[in-house]
Amino acid sequence: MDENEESAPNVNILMVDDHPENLLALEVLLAQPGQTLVKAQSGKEALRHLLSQNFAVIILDVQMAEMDGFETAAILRERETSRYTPIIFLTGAHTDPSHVFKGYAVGAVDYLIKPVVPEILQSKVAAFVELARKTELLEASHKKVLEAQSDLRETEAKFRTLVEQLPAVVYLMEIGETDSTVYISPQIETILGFKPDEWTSSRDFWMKQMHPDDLRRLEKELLRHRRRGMRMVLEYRLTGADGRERWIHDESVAIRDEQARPIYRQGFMLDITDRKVAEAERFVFQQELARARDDLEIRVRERTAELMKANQELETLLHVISHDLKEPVRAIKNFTVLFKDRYMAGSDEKGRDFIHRIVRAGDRMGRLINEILTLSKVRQLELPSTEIDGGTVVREALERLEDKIKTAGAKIQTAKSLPVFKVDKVWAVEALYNLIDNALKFTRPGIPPDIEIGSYLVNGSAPSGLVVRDRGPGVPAEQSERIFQLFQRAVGRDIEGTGAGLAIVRQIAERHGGAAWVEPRDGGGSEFIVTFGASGTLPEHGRSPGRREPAPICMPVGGQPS
Amino acid sequence: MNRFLTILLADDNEDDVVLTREAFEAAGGNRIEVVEDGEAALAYLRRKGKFKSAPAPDVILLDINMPKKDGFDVLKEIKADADLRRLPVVIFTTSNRDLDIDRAYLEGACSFVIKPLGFDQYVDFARNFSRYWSAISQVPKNRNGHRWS
Repeated sequence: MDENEESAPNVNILMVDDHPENLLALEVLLAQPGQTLVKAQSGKEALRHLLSQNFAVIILDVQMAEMDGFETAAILRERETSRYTPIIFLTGAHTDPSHVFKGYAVGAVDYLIKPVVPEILQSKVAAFVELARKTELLEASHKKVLEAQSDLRETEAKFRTLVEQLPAVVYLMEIGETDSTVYISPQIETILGFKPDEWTSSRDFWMKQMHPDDLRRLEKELLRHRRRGMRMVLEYRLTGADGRERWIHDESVAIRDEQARPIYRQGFMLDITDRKVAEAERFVFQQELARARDDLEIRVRERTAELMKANQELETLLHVISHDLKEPVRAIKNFTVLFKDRYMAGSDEKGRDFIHRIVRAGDRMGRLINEILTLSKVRQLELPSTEIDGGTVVREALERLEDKIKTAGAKIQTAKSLPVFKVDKVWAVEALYNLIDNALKFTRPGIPPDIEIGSYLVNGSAPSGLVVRDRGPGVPAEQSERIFQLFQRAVGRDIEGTGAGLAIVRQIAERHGGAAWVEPRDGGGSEFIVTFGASGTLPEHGRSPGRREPAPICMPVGGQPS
Repeated sequence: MNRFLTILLADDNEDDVVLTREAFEAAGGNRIEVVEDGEAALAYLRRKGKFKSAPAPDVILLDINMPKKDGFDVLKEIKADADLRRLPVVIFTTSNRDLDIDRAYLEGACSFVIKPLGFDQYVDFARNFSRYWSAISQVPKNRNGHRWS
């Protein structure tokens, strides 16, 4: 047995003889591992086997009754699968081999004369078996080669597609005296409009297309690369076939020889013209934006200055007018009074009435002017920073009103503890003064004023305001906003007042970040509320959600808080 | 014993001058000399020109807003003048500005009075003023450098 026959592929051997004892003999002779012996007793049977198997060699007895060996062989040779299958004819001595040889020129054919010498048969069979095996191996290996070739072609195709689809131009340049391009990808045509052949046609085509300024700038870099072959990243301008300039981003590395000398430069080029244009545009745009913004700032500043100046002028005007009006008003009043005292002693009622009206008009004018002056001063109020006890504010307001309170016979009650506010004391007192003055004026006929002063809480949080309650005629809901507007009055002229008092109160409150408003009081009368903090929000007409504070401690008649 | 008071009133407002005169007349025991602007006030005090033989004032009622030289200018000059600086100067004005009050005292005024609103108050003021300066407050003998009779 051969040693290498263990790993060898299995082969089939067909033996055809119509005498079974011959087949047996052959079997004994040829039985070996790696060889499958198939017996057939006729040509027909043999052909049948050939339908389903391939054989390394066919041993064919010539003398067969039905179909002789030659006939069988003839049919074999017609079949594609067995056209080249080696055949060993076993013939009798009397047959003439040359006659037979002529007809079967296709495929290997051999003759053995019976009785065969076993060793000869064995060795011939072995030879054909070996041949068959080798053929099989060759075919397998050929198949592999074909596969590999196909894979390679596929890969090549992919690579080519890749390169040709790249937005970049791939190139390979020789590093030498001038940088001549060895390979340029077809993208060069898309990007610059040059055919690859054109590009590689002359040695320094590339450099010729470069913008001279850039060439000058990059010369050093290129030189360095020639010498040391470092990775290069460049940006420069190339002129395309259409004469238009493009900005190119170029990255390359060196390919070295066995001595590590750089011999090629391999890289890619990207058209970054759009990006450069966009950058330039963006820069310009940013400049313009900055300029526009500066312009705007200047204009805003100018406008603000103008407005402030106009506002200031207005305030000054208001102040000056009011101030200058005071003098003639005083003169009118004083001389009228003097006149009345000295020259009107004996005159009739009508005369005295006329004088009285003059004086009263003068008084009203004086008060009006004062209130306008006050209002204008409040508007220029700077935010205060002192904490004042509400009680102090109320007390000072009541002191100023001492005479009026006495004249009116009013009853005033102040809550014992009032909140502390962060206010300007003078203005807070002014606000309270106006509110209480108001309450003193608006009474029901014949009934002296009954006034309560307490603290006001917003939504149960910390108290932020004061409330002045009266038992006067009350304010109709539709008037409750109007009365806080300058010179709007809800009552007739029989009740004294200029209509500026409540406007002043609201102005003061708002300058402190608060508010002023009125609400109807349970049991008749009004509640005037003034807040000095941010928590003071103006409620809808009607009840506000603020909590009422409990009943105050009573004060003696005459209104002096203790 | 009450001294007879000579008051120099410097005020450009005619109406106020009339009122002041009336009020002080009602108070009695005094006489008012009037000048209508700052320059005239200083000329008076320095006995220049037509004021050569004008009566020497015991106290000055000085308005702030006057033409030519305003009250503060006059006050400054008086207090800078060695001969005049002892004179009591009372600022008498309609202004109630803290700024003015402060400046008045800074420049050396000895009092600041806001002109009364009604005539009754005017008379009250005149009486109190007269009383204060003629009987209550002492004045330096040589309150101006000029030899007065």
